[in-house]
Amino acid sequence: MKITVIGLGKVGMEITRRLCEEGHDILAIDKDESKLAKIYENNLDVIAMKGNGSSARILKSPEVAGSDLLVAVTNSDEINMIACMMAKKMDIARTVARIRDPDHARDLIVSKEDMGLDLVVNPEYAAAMEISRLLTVALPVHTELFADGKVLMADITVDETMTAFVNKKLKNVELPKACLIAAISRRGEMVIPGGKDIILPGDTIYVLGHADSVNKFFLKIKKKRQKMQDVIILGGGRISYYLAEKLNSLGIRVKIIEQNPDRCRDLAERLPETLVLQGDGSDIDILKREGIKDTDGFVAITGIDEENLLLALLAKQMGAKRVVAKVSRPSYAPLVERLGVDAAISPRLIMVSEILRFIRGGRLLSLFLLLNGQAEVFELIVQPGTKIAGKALKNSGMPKGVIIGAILRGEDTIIPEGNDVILENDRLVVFALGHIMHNIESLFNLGGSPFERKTYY
Amino acid sequence: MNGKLIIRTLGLVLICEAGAMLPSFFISLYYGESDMLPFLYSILLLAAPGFLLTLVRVKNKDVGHREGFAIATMAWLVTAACGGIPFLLSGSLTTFYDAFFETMSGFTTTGASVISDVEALPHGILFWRSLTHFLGGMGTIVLILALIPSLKVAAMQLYKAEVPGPTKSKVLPRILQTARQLWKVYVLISAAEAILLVLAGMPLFDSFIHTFGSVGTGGFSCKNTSIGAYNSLAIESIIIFFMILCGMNFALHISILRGNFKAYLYDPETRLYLGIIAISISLITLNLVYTLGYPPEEAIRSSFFTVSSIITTTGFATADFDRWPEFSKMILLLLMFVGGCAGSTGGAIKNVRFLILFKSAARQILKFIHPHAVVPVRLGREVVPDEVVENVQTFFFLYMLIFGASTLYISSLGLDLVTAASAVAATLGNIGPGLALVGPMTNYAALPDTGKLLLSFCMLIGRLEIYTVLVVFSIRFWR
Repeated sequence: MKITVIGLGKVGMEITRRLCEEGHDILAIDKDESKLAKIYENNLDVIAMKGNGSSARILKSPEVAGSDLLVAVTNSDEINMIACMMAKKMDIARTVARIRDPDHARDLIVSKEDMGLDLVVNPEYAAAMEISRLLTVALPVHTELFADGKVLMADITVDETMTAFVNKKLKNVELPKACLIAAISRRGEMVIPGGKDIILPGDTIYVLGHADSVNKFFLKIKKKRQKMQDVIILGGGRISYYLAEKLNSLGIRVKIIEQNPDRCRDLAERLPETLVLQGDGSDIDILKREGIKDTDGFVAITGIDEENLLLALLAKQMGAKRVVAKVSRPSYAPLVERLGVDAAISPRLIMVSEILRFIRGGRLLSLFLLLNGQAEVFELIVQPGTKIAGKALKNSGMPKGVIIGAILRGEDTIIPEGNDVILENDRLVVFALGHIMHNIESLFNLGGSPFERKTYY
Repeated sequence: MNGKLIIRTLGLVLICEAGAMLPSFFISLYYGESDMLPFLYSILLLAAPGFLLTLVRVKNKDVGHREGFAIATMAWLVTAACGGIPFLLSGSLTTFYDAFFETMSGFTTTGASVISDVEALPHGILFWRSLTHFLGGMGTIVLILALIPSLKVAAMQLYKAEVPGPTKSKVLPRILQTARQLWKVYVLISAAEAILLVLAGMPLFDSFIHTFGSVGTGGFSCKNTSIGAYNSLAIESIIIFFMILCGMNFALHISILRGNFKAYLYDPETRLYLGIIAISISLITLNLVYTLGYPPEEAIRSSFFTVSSIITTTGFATADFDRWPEFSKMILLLLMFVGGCAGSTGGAIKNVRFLILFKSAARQILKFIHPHAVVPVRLGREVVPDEVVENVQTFFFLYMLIFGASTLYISSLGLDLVTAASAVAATLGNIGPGLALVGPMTNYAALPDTGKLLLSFCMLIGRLEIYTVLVVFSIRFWR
């Protein structure tokens, strides 16, 4: 597929890299020469082009013409919108725009088709929803639904109290029917475990299976947990705004600590139910005075990864019950689990996974990028005539690092074993390590335009 | 300071005032009473110099803040001083202080009178007295702005000086359009009331007088016992309705006329205003029933009328509330400070200011608990800028300061505390009747001249909402 990416900021670069690795033909456009230079530094096999991505001149140029998709992720909402509108005029079939301004984003929910946008991604909004979910679920479990909610994947960090499986060999762990431990993340490394592997305290295990079974599994280890009642948010950016709005709507008391007085005023005006405090969040006194030791949730989402991590740790140590930090840089991801921060989110990764999910469109029904980007979970439908169809799993030549987590056949959900056979039109939930999408694609014979299929998650 | 322009504008004001006396002159002709010649002379006395002043050549048409404040204050002083001429010429009043007090009371829609026997006055004078309520209610300057487009340049400054409420309610993009629209609604409401009053059995002349009195929230009557003289439930109900209506923000009336029917419902100020009315009525009714043994219907009827009359700063009376129990009188005294809504014809501190004061007090307390909290003051969903909050706090302080100082002076004249305090509260808030010696069934005639002069200024300060007048009287202004 031919894809044009406008704007090579952090997100643009990440998307370019991932799409390129998956074998798409990429044209990357940016106004800034130094950004283009990075493309070559990273040895990406793409065309880089200098220019204003929203201008007709650029969009008409032969390089761009005939693109199947345009992804506009410059730092300006307006340029992204205009680029997409222009692109539609130039007969580019699909457009994706990043829109971050809360006011625009809200309008676009109603009118995105009129504006020529097929997908509007708001990374801050998506991140805020993710944090809100992390804070309000009953266990520190990260869950993701697949196959219209029939299949659930959940991760949980194991500690000594979870006697049901801590320090046990995997084959000795009692699992409910129709669910399996798909992966273990140990000290930041993702492994697909075999039956002899032992689960250690501090590991994060990923459990995949039928939704009811997974829930039953976690019921066993469910601790008594109070309802989330108040949350302190450090940093007053856009994520904080969306998050506070969301938490307020759930009846949770929110305090935002932000340093910039103007930003404080703006937040206070927009969020009538939130208490906005002006001050330096790294100042212990203000955190103490605002009751950090009794708070149910603490969210560090300032612009600085290091600060977020350290303050989240500090909050945890002082008694905050659940702490979440924003960590944009993927290289810090392995640290998060070791440090004891309950969860880390990266708006960039959330956004990239949203765009990838869209691009993969019909063939991969839903895609979920695990935090550190080391593994993906996605759904697909077995097309008629694929190599793998009709073979038992153990004979299918599945590459290492790929697990078929679930097969959905009609109304049935099967958690497959080696002897199970994959049939045409089965719906699969696949767990894969690393960026081995293209391997899987050839295995499932998924060439051609993804937009031919009507099913789109 | 653009002196020539101010003089020329004052000339226009005089001509307009002379024009406003014409209806009274025709009425005196119709009734063939003794006030015919005084009106003729007054009109000439005002129109001639007014005409001469308008001949002043104005080269520089710049109007700044200062000119706006100066014109507003002087125009009010001049209209009040000259508006008293018919009273003096006709012999209805004998001293300048009385005439100034009476006219100022009229234009500021106070309704405090120094005339003991109004029923003896000729019809022309009565009509003029009440017409000043009508003109002053929506603001004479706003009226002049609506009528004379040549004042366009000065419009914004003048409007700001005369309609200084904390929330600007410019309904239309242009001030002139706004002024016209406001007057249109105002005249519409007045016509409706006059017709209803006639239908309810009030004589035509009286219905005009009381319409002017209630839509301007003034309170002058043509009966010595005010509305009580008619002893008609229908008339009282009509007047209650229109008093309360005119105590609300006229910008809201305009949005209602434009089809935004929920405007009243969602306006926090209107809700507070109606809430205060309801609570005051209930408390006073209970107090009257249990302390004085009133029959409940009568207690409701007189408390409803009196509360509406006082909170809207009208000052009509159906009962001598001075004889009510202390608790009821205290409620009424407090209502004198509350007043109507911003953008209404009512006076006093106004509900929206109390709303802002309450919210800012709550914020202050919250700040003690969370010293770093950033909390905006809100009206409904709207955020009130901090300058406005500060403006309101200062306004409240100045209001109380002027109230205190004036009460001190009036009591030095040998009047008792209740009389002094209620007289100042009733004039500063543009209500009219106070308590004790200046109660609803007596008047201000007994006060010494200096007292009358001071109270006249209280009315002006109250009507122009303090700042406009104080600015003109500050030293910096003239440098």
